[in-house]
Amino acid sequence: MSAILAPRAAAQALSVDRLAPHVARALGMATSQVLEAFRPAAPGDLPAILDLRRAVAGNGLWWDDERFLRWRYFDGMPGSERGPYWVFEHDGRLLGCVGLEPVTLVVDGVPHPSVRSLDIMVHPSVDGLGIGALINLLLFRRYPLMLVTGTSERSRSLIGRMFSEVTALGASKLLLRSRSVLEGRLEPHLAVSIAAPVVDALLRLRRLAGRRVRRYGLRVARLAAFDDDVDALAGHSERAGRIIVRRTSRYLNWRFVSNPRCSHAIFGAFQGNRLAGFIVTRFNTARPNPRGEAEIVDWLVDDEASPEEADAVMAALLEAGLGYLERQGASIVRQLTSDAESQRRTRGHGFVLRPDERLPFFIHAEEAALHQRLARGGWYLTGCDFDVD
Amino acid sequence: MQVTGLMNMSEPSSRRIDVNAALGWLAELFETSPDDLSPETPRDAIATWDSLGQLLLMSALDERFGIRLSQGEANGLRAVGDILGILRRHGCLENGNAR
Repeated sequence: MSAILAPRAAAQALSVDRLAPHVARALGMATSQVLEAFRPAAPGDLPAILDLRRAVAGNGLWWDDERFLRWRYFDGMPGSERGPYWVFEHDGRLLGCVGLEPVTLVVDGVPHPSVRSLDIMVHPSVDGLGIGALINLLLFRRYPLMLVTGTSERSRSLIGRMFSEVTALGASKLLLRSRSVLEGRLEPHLAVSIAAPVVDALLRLRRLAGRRVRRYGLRVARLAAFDDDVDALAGHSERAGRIIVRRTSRYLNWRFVSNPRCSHAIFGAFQGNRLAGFIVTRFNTARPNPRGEAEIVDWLVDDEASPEEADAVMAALLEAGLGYLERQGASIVRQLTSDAESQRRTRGHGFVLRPDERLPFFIHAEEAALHQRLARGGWYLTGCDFDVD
Repeated sequence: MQVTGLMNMSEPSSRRIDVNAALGWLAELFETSPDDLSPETPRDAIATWDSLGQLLLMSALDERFGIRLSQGEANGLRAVGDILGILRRHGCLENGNAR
């Protein structure tokens, strides 16, 4: 087996048995106690979890965190089990917590239950004692396939050693309105007022270049919610040679329509009555957003479409989504793409890749054959993902 | 599969090493080059000497040298030289200077 394709944690001989005694000693506990300290959260833990998250994130929590936690973890998707949330408790005090989102990763048409590890937090008073690393190791025991998108700068090295990095999503930006950018570079205010409309007109002209594709009778409509059509559309992507996260109308509606943290706008492209693709955009004005930044959060184009048709669907969806964001007052649109084809398509609409802004994506698979397949890279959960917590 | 060689080395003959061997051992532990380590290298100059690196260090000191650090000793480790000092105090480091 190649060293590169060996599960990262295993290659480093990272194990609960090896490391837990040292975490236990640092906390003044027995090893058995430290293992029992990590348990699934109960609804009664919510106040303590909120306190812990406030202690870690401080003023960074601009949203109603209780409502958010209830939605994401404690209530969960309607009709399904709630999302797993785990806490690390010592002497009646929560020292760490982590939220997981259950997803199905479809590898060459075969579904694999997995979890996305979202926001792992350790109380600042016990920072550096290895609780975060131990939490990950304990999760590896329970979840044979774990996915992580993005890390903080501080935990980049730790995650990189416990998981295997599969790819790094490339960030690109599109300027819709130049005023917020020019204000930082031009003086006086009058110069900005004169230059901004000219620059905006040039930007609009540049985006028009993206419309020069055959239309294939496409009609784009804003959707209030996803329906069964998206299940069929997403099903086309679940085939040999492709790795993708399973998207269903229920999952997408939970994630985007009932999300209490921000609203999303969904557009569907139709050929006749058939859904040929969708795009999800977000312009969050509830958070501090002085530059008017919006995001393209997700998209999917029918995998059975020809390359030319796929280009046309993507162009129509981008045109609708960007037009909507511009009308809402967004100045900058950001997106994260995983592959050169997606980047080519969006470049035609004026998106500029930022080589220095990349978001790493990691996996940990217990099963060696699956790990080898996934660690080869060249894939991501979706074509584009900015719904990172 | 990559094997770090950090385990099962607790025989008495392997419990005394010289400074250069100790630096090589630490380089392997922290996944860096021995050339990047000296007794003066501070902890924050070693990207992998984070909380996980600290756990691995404590574990490796225990497994290879039978040294169990107290939390106070662990908290006091600020540079590579502090680790060498621990080895010296426990009689695991031969006298001599780094290359």
